[in-house]
Amino acid sequence: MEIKGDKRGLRVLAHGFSEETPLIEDLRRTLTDRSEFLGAAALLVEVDGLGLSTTLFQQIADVFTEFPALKLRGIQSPDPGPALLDLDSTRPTVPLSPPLVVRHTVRSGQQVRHSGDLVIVGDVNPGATLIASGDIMVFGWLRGTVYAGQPDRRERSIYAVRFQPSQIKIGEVLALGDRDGQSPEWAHVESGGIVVESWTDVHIPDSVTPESRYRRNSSGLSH
Amino acid sequence: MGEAIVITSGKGGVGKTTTTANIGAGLAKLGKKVALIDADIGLRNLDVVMGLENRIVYDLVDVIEGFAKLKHALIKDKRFENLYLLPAAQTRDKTAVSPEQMRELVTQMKEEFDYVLIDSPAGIEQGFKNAVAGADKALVVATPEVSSVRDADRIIGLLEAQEKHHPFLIINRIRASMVKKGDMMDIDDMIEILAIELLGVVPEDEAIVVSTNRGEPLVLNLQSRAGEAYRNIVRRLEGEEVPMMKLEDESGFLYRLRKIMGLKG
Repeated sequence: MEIKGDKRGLRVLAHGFSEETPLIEDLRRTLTDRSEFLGAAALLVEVDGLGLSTTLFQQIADVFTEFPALKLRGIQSPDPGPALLDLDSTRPTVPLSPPLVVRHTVRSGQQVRHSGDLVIVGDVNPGATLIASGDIMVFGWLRGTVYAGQPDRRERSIYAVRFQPSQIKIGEVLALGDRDGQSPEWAHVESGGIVVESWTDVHIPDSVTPESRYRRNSSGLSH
Repeated sequence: MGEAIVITSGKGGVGKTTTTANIGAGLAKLGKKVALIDADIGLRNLDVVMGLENRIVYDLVDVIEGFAKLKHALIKDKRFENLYLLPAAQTRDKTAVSPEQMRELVTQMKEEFDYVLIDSPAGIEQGFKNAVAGADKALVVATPEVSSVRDADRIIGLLEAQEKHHPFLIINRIRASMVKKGDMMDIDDMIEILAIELLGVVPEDEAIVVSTNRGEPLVLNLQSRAGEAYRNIVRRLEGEEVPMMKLEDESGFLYRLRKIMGLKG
């Protein structure tokens, strides 16, 4: 599939398909192949030669949920004119999927994408990439590139037991990382910039009463 | 049924071929029947390091394409009766062979040999895929440099994704004096990132250059520290518990004195 850019914005040209399934597969492949180039682009999908059904709309929208960084602006036919489905004006917040828990080290060259919260139990090594539309928590060393709240949720955060990312992005706010983090820290957006704070002052929800807390074994240090 | 081990790294120039030659010779010295496969088609080196380049008649691609029988292409080593080399083709490229063909060949060779060592080319493309296809175990060679560790991490990720290799780490060309001064990554830094089992640490040794050029594996040299490190790796592969060699500061006076006197460290 071709991707074209002009004054109407970036359009994915889904032309010449006579069936829905190959169109959807080709769209997924195109977005996967070009995901690095596209970044956090907003795209129009232009369908030609195939009737626009609600199931096709739904399937195209579903493909886009697999790419949390991309925004689906609308689906339209090639004739210029009003779009058949314009998501810009009435864009509902895409519901987040349940959290994804990854229980291994994410190594260089590996990428984990999820439209929801993402939890890594393990390290994120230099050269690895995490992209999520929700929060990201790393129970290990965070040394790779990490994008939370994609494409535009600035209220999201990134947590890591050792916070040493090479690059981080929350919503559309980007910052370069460093190798200084030596204790648990979390990052969030504050007045347009990314702020990193110590992650030790954990807020306990009011619904948790003292009685329902666990008991800490005070002799725990002896072994 | 023997075991097939691929020696790989991602990055070039970290010592895959030297490691293959030395482990192969070390295992052969212990009486094992060993075959080395040079999977670096188009850039063959292992034959030179083994000092066998002038004996090549047929190569890996000839065997896979059916022009030669395996037993005709295998070259017997000069020093060991039970060490053989299957050289790479020099006039072809990595696409001449497919992973399925390699897997078939390695399986066939495992029936005859105790160990089949596969020297992988650098990179993560076709040549790498061919080299790992038939392997049961992977040895990842890395030098104490950020770029090498990054590439080793990538390779380990790819090996883990296949879920059949259990990768082991060999740290090559470490310099105790530089680690001590903080100018070089130390072993702990590397293991912390790569998080796989360490099989051995080989110190930087000028004797490697000499032995590579002469085509005589260093593992046979009892005076050399790197040779000793390779002998330890071989023993660990054989299941023996061998403590890690203590790295010595080569700039130290005592070390140089001992070296002059020809004593082992």
